[in-house]
Amino acid sequence: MSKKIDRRSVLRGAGALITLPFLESIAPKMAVAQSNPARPIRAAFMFVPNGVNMNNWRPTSAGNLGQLPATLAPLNELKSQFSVVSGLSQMKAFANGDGPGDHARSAATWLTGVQARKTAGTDIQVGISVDQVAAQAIGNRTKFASLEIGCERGALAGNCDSGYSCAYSSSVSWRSESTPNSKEVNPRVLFERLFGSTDDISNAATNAKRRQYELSILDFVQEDAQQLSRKLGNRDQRKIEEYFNSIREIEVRLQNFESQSKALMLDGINVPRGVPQDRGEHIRLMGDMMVLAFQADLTRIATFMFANEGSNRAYQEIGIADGHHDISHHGNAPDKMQKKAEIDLYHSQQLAYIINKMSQIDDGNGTLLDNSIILYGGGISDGNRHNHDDLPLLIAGKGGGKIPNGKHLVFPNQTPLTNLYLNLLDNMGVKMDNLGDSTGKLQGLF
Amino acid sequence: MQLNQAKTSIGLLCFASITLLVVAVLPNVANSQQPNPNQILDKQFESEIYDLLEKYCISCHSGQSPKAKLDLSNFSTAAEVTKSPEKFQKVILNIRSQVMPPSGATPTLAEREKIVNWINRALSENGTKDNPGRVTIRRLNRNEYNNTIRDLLYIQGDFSKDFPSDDVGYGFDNIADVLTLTPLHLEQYLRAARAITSQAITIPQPKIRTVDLSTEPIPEGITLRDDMFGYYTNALYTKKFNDVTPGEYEIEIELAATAVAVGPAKANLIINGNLFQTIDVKSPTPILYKIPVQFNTQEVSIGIAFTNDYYNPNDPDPAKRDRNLILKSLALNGPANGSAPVSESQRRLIFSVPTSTKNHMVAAREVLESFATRAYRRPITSAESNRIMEIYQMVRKNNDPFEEGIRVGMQAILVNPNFIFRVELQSNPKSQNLDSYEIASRLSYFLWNSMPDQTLFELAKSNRLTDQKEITAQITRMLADQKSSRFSDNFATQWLQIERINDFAADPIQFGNFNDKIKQDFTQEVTLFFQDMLRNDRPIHEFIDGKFTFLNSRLAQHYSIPGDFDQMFRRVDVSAKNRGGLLGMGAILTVTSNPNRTSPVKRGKFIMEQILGTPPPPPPPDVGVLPENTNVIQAVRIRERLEQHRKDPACASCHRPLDAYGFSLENYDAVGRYRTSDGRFPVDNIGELPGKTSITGLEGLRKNLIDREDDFTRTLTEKLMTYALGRGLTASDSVQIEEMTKRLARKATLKSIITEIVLSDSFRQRSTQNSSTN
Repeated sequence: MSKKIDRRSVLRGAGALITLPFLESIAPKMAVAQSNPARPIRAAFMFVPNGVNMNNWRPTSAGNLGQLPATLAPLNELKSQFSVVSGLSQMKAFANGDGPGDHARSAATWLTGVQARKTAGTDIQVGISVDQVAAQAIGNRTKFASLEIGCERGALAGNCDSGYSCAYSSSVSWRSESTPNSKEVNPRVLFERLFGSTDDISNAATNAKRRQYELSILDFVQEDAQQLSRKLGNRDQRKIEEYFNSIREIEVRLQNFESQSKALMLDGINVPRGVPQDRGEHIRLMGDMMVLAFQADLTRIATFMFANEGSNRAYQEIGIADGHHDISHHGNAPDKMQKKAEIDLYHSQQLAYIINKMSQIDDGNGTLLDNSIILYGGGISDGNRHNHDDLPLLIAGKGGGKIPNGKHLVFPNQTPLTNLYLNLLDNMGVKMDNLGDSTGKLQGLF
Repeated sequence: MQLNQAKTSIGLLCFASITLLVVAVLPNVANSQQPNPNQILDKQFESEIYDLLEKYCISCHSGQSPKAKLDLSNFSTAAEVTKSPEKFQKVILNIRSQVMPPSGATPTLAEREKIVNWINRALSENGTKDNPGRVTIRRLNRNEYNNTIRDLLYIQGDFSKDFPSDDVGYGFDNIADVLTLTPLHLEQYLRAARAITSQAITIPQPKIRTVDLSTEPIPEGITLRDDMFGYYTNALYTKKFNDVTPGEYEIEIELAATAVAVGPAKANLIINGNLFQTIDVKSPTPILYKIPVQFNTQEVSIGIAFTNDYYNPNDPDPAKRDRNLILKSLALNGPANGSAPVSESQRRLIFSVPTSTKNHMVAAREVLESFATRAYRRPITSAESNRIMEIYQMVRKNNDPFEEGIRVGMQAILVNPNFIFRVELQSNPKSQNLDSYEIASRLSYFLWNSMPDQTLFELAKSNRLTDQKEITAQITRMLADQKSSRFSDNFATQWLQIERINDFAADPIQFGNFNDKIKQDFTQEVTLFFQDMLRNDRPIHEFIDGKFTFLNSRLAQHYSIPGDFDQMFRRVDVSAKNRGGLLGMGAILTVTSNPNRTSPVKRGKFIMEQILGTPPPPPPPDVGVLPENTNVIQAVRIRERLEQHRKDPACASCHRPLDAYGFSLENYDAVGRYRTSDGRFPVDNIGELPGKTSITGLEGLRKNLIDREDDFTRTLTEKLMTYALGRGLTASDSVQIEEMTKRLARKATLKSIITEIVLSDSFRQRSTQNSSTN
């Protein structure tokens, strides 16, 4: 009857890892619920901070990928599954009169194509991000409209960057121009959100009743929120609007998807505990769950920040004792540039793990990777110069067959990155003529 | 109005400041006479201020393309200053921080103060301070949520640990505008509300709990038929109960067996994983067994295992071929001695219960209305009450008990925007004054990081929190309460950016002994010191020149301070030991260091920002950095490396003060240990400020900062005010802070600053305009 998942397949302890047997044993069950034969396109936007060492990133020539540059070497086996993209730029992340703050701007602009308003708190404002455009169009087809994950919490102290609120540096996903999406960094909490906690694994009657009660609660609070909304001023309205939107999303989830997730409430799954110290392990663990959520069609859209922009974490896993941000300001000193390249390489290794995993999962008419679009990269090109043109970017997956892989695609420098997003949205079936600073779809891409 | 209020607040401050205060308000007194203050200011501008500007500023800040697009040659009256208060406050900042003028003739401190004072008075005289600002409705942050839940439901626990982290604005995590709300929050609120209400309220369990086998997961080796479990081979079925009240119970099981002719089937009763009893099942029809048992834990597992499966298909007698066990029913009956004892929190929350004379609807309404009033931090309307009761009734219609109705009603209240947000409604659109309930909340979230208590609610009810005397009395009471340590810890760690210590990854090669325990001790040293300052009402200059700190044995060892220490922290006089005050604390010295070396620049920046309130502008992009190679670090003195800063005039204007402050702390390494040499060089602890002032070592730094005590008072007041209001400061706030700083003069304590803030217009009023606060 109920197939029990081997507890041993889930490593215990703080650095718990969900291993492959786990994924394979639980996913097909969930996939059954999806009767649509044409598999949906999934999109993930994976972000790395502080630019990269471009010498070790950019392939020497355009066209088919030959010998990969050092930073991309971990992806060698997957060469036919991704393309490197050069020339795309986010000109709205440059100062444009706003002075310093390139780190904050680069993350805020990355998926929005909009110049962030310079403020330490009052009236944060940028624009809606591409993942949320997609989530608002097709997110109602899955239990979670979108998934926001990362490895670092928002900063807990101080200004993040030169008078910009910390919200900018720690969020690439923006639900609206003033509301960044909170991201989940704790693997245990992410797991419980996706699959339910142990106390959810109770009997069906209790669950049904609970759902009924929660829906009534949501009705009730909506009425009170409306009452409240009538008495509030403009800025307050914005907050209440955030509240209404959240209520609606949870309501849809409760109404349409709770039964689906019950199939997931399987016995014997160990929940990951806490946050691994080792960054690679942390990225892979979060990546595993993102892949699982795609595979089970719990969501089709994800953003994943390997680290917050401007992160000054030391990478002691690979023997680097200086902070990442400090290193990125290498002043062209060879030893620092080398260290920057080592951190970039470390991130590529984790990316390779995630892509490789997706390339091995059967997804109906191809692999999960074939039906996905993974954008990986950052909003700063060279960390030393803080420039936001010719960004380091890579697209993996075929997006259902339309995206060319195995290439180095070179666009004229300063081509808006948002143009690519129009293509991606189109590929996902979301019609959008304009996003941020876009000037029209990239031609000749797909 | 302004004058009256100022005068009333005199009485609250210590006597010595009175004279100063009177001086400070004199221009107001002169209001009705001739000449008016603006004329005085304009005259002063002509006679003194213009000359200073011309001497130090105007050569760059004038003409076709003035530097930084700031033209200082195009105004000559106080009234013009008030037209762009933000611009002139930036001017004040740069003059005070000595970032401006960058080169050439350097103004004396007295000259700097003269310009600054004039601008401030111009702002003050022209109504800049009459706008109290407007705080957006504010979502409770993680800490506030947690503390509020504890105080609201009288329970302990960490209820917000899974919530997304709160964004920080203006250096604090309670800034309304960046406290956004996403579906992830709401999801967690729903989940938390469930957990919280089940912790606070237990539902009396029915005496007999019967397990519905038809809905149970079916273990391997067992099959479900006619709602009974058939064990077709040796197998185990386990049922967990999570809410068992300790006491005496009876386990009731109905068992039968097949092929008993070959001997009874053995059913092992396994309780909490241990074999409790073996039952010989001899009957082919179900028999009820009642097994008495004592439970001492809330979680209980009851297992029934079949252990002697027998199968011989060749036996000529069909009744002897296949022995199986059948479980017809399982129930738990108890506890024998009645229902669970009701917890203290439950008794307080459910103060009214249905009785033979009181209808359950009446009791529920009393309970939920009282709860909602406290949760919303204001009286609720009858419409609100009715809606809550609809939830309660919906639950009861589902045949759930009274307590469950209360639980779900409370869950609805805990997810309600009136609880999640701190709302200030302003019932009277013409008045800027907050009402008593709103002031109660502002006070309690400022000083307790939580909701108002019973006393504050009662004062609010009788509208006494608009009275300054009452407010002052409440500040004293609230600071004496243990809950004020929440304020101390939250404010101190954020003001001093101590949270960053957790992300500090010290280079293991140089600092192998540095570990997480020391990080915790570092934090504790800061918070204990801050609490001591608050509790004993010490003058705030002791943050700078205090002769004491708090140490335990581990920290004393880290600091190489001999003495008799144990695990407990105690107050220690360290005046002779290169410690004392904030700047000798490991936490601060470490969060301002790089993982592998000290950073005089980061330390200087910390002092300029967090202590003196004059943050230097950020460096331009594409600036060079110091060579980081270990060989270079060891081969070249850090001063020589930093010398580059002074060669380039673009760097020098900011780096002179930055480096000077930073260098004075070079006696402390990157993890806050005292040292006299850095690598193979003796420590160079002399910093040179513009104007040929030099600062030597911690002692010299303290002296310099004490000379600038007003700057420190102002900075601390600004930080406290930002925290208290939950928004960025406006021009109006800044003008008020200038006045407070003057009134407080050298007598400022945390309590006197807090009192000034709470009594200010910014704290007790809210702008009726909907415009932005900035």
